[in-house]
Amino acid sequence: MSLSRRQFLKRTSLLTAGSFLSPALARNPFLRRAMADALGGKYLIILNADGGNDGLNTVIPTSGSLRATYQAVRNTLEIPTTSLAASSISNDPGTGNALALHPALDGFKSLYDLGRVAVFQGCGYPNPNLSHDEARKKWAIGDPTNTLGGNAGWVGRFLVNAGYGAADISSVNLRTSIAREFSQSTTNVIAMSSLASFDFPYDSAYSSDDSYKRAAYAALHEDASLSAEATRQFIGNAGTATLTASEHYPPIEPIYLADRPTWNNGYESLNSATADNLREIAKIIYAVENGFDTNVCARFFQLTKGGFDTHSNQGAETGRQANLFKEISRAVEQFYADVENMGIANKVLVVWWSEFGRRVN
Amino acid sequence: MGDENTLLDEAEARHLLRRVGFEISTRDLHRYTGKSRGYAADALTRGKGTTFKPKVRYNVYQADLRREVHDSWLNYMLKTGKQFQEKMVLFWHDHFACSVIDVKDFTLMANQNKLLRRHCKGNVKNESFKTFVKSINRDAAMMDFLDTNKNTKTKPNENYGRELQELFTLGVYDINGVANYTQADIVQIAKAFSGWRFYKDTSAGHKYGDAYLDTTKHDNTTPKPVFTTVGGFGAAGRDITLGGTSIGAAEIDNVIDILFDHTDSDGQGTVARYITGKLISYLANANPTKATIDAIIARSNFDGSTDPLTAWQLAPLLREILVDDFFYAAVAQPHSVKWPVHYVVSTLRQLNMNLDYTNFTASVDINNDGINETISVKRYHVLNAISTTVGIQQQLTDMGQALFEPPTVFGWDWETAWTNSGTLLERNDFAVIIAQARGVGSKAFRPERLINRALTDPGDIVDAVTAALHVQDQFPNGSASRQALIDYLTEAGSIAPPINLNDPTTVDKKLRGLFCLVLESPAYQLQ
Repeated sequence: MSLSRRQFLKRTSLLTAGSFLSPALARNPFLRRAMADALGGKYLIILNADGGNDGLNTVIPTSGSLRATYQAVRNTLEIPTTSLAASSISNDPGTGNALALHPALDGFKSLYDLGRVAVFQGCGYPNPNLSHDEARKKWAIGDPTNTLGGNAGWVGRFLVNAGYGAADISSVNLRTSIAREFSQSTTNVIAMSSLASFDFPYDSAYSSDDSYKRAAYAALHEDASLSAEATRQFIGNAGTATLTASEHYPPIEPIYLADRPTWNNGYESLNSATADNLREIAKIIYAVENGFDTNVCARFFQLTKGGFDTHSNQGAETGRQANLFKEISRAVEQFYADVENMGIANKVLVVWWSEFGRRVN
Repeated sequence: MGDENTLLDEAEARHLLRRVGFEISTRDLHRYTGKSRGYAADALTRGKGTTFKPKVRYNVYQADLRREVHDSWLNYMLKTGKQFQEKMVLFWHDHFACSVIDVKDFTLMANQNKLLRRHCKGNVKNESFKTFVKSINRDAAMMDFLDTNKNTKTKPNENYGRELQELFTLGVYDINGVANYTQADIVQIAKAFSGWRFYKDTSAGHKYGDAYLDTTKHDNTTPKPVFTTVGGFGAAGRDITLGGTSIGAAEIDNVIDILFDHTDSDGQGTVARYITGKLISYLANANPTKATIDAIIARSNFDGSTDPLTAWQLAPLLREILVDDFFYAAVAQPHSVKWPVHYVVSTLRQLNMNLDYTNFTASVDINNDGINETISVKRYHVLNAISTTVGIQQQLTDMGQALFEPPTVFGWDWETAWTNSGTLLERNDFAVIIAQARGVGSKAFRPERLINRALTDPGDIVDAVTAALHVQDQFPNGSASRQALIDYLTEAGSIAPPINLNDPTTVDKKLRGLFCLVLESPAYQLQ
């Protein structure tokens, strides 16, 4: 969270220099370590508020012309300035009007006061057609004028350029499908709902048969990964990565639970899906940082909190949007405290984003 | 290059049956092998959909009952002889995607499912794809899902007006990447749909869910011009109210008539190209060329360019897709990823397995009087699998596709989006659950009944297993995949032939294991 956007972009360009590496070289564990060093041992977490979060009731103008405009378009959903006094942030650089975070974003407000939060407002794309999916796609692909073509996501292109290959597991998505910004077909992104549920299945009646099944599964997927046909190759690589991840990721969980019980309980007490997912990411980061298993080396993560398509039912100070905000900001606050305690807060960047493709009112 | 007269060999017949259904029976394989593409396509596209409707005992929205309606349709897929029909219903469920999680009404979802089935492959007398879309306008589940029932003249809701164009008929962009509509078009179409509601009771001669127009909430503005900049209608565009002569309830039918007249930047029918392209991607392979799409439209007269009186018929369109070279191009190397429902249903059917069920009690307010009653609810699952999972619906959810629950109005993401590490692991879980379905009767997995037990050569046994699952062409002699299965069977050569398939342990461990591995193999994920 302490990375400025400029610093992040600088690192991006640093890493793309790795693209001259051949895939075989990139699979070399020493080179992988070197790549991590080039990245400065950083971690990127992308947190998506899916469904179109209402930006106007996220960072809210509290004075001047912006406030007047806000009142005009949010007349039924307006949050009074008295409720925003405790969550004020810097003034809008353009107009000088005062701004505040939604009062339910209390977790972000405390991080903001520590200088750990930056806000990018009013991002969009040229000639929006008001389709949610189109807006999602634009954000995920990061190619608003469609100059690159194709469907690879912006993180996906980064991973490919950084030299991650078919045998690497660069990223973990805490969900049942791969997030679109990670999509590409060169390297592996793991989708899991939790570490514990990611173990490989065997027929429990014959454990002596497991090693033979494992060998056959690996050989079948290797054969497919050598296919000239793209889909077959994709499934072969995905199956190989699944087997590797299912053997190496679940065992890191007990280490975190044993070493960091207080932090584990902290997430537990928040009792939310976002806190649970960020805890899984913290477990992986803890393992990567401490080098428990060279096969656990993911540095890019994604999680989604859906339900932001609240439209006129979003509520104002309280209600559906406020509940979602509370869940997200408190979970991130806890996660930040966890990685800060690990001593690596300055290596972790969380990007929270939402698409919004509709009209302002 | 072939055409409708080209004769099918066995591999092509197998390919056809895999694409148009779930299970490949020996009977069907014999029926189509040696016959022409046209003969098979005619047989498959004949007749209209059946009247099956998923069973709804209590229309009270609750997770346990959501499972009931899901399992009802799934069991129909597992048992019906109308396999192509159900594959098409699934297509339209993805196309006109509505989720029970939002609609929260089982009766309306079941009614919609019945509507999709009626039109799924056309052949409905005096109707067409155009009248199908007009029925969707008035479908209560859709009206609820996309907020038509909240659309009023004072507070227009544009959701349906937008998705009708973006997803159901035109697409955002045409085949050349040119925008098909503008925000102004959405606004006008939303006005036409304002005031449409559906009945939530059964009194006074109407049924629950019947649509009607509340004229007090309808925007009677005339004219309602659309497509003044795109669509090939010229600067005047088209008026939804037909110059004021056709206002009120008729407007939403006029909208569909206009959309079906929309032409793209090549001057070709936009709806015809959009729908044909999507159907080809579903039944044959993704990314058909413009030439393939146009040839199929021309042969089937889908856009009415040969005979306007028989335009928009789905049966001839499906027939022409099923005889096209593009359909048969992937026989040697199938590369379309099976949808999770297809994976599960085809596996159970091919292995002659019915689902088992366990009765659970649920607390449900069945009389809608604020008092919960305790009722018994069936939860379907693979035999023995209730202890490891919470049933087949949860397994499909984890694979990424529970029936009646498309993730968004955009439906599901297809192809390699189905097979990430997480969902592949769920498919592996399912394969192991199948392998562990030990027992007797029609719910058990009994591999010894699927192959010739007199076989003793490891290669012959492997070939028999891949043939039982109809993927033998993907495990040819000398391939590394076939060798991987042989090594599994012989434990890397340490078990010397002859293999004795009359030995219970060999069958219970190795034959089950072989089937499990094939179900997990990359080749089996493809169609």
